[in-house]
Amino acid sequence: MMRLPGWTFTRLIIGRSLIVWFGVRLSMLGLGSGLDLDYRVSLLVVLVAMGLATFEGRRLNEHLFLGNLGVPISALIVMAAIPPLILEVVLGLVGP
Amino acid sequence: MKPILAAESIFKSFGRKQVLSSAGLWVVPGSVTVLVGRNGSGKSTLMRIAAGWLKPDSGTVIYNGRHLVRPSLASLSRLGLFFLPDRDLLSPSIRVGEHLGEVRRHNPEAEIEEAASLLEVDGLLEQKSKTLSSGERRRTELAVALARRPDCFVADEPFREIVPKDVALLARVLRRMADDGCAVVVSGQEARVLFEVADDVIWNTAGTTHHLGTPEEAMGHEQFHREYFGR
Repeated sequence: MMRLPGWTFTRLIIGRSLIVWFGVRLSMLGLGSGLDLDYRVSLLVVLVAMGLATFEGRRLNEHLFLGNLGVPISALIVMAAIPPLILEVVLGLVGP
Repeated sequence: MKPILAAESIFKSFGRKQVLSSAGLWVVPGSVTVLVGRNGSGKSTLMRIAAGWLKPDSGTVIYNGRHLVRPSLASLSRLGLFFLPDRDLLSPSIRVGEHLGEVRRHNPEAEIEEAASLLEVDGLLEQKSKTLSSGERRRTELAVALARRPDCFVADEPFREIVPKDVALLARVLRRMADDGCAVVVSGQEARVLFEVADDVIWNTAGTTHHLGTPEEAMGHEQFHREYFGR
């Protein structure tokens, strides 16, 4: 079974991913592209949020520390993708 | 005794720069292997490859008799390896105690209190790692490794940028880990300090490695002595 980080690191990864997602969506609003809810745009937003959050986790040594405890990088990438994915689905369901 | 960790015939280049060619590294349980070499000789690259943190262009990593073509740090860690990189291991915004708590979460038998006490970090548990001095950070990182109780410990330049008192403490702990049965590999440039704890010496020069034997044999190696100490 895949090892996952404890709550301290999970909170950090999810929180960072949420901040990046908000940042990406706010930037899009600021650039005038509005609340584009096309599935291709949503997918791109998820990938950008996941990529930036993963990069930041690597920069802050989390991947090294958790790797030493047997947590694979793939698990951290998936964890960083979940919050923006959920938010994009919710936006798609309740958005204009 | 057979090596628990061996990196064999390692080749690695970054762009057009060949960093390692036919380099190797190995360590047996209960001993300290020291990898010495000048800046830019490829020590860190070889250590990262041996620990699964970097992929080689070619070559094999063998752990406990298992040939691993493209091992990851996480997979080696699950087999009992711990890697201390030459840069920071701790996450800046997380407290020392939380790092140690995470180790216990993954290893219920982890000896947190003993490791923290031995490395003199038991008074730092509430501090975030970004507030630690370089010596405190290195001691905390070694406490994390010690608490994890690895079968093989790969430490890249653990003595860099720390005061002699901390160097002495870290050297004692590394020796103790080996005496308890752990296979320890340490790299660095401080040959005289490293040789005090070493059982076996490997010289990394011009992208490849040479096995020099015991520290006494290494000191008697004419070419090593001339090129490394300059006399």
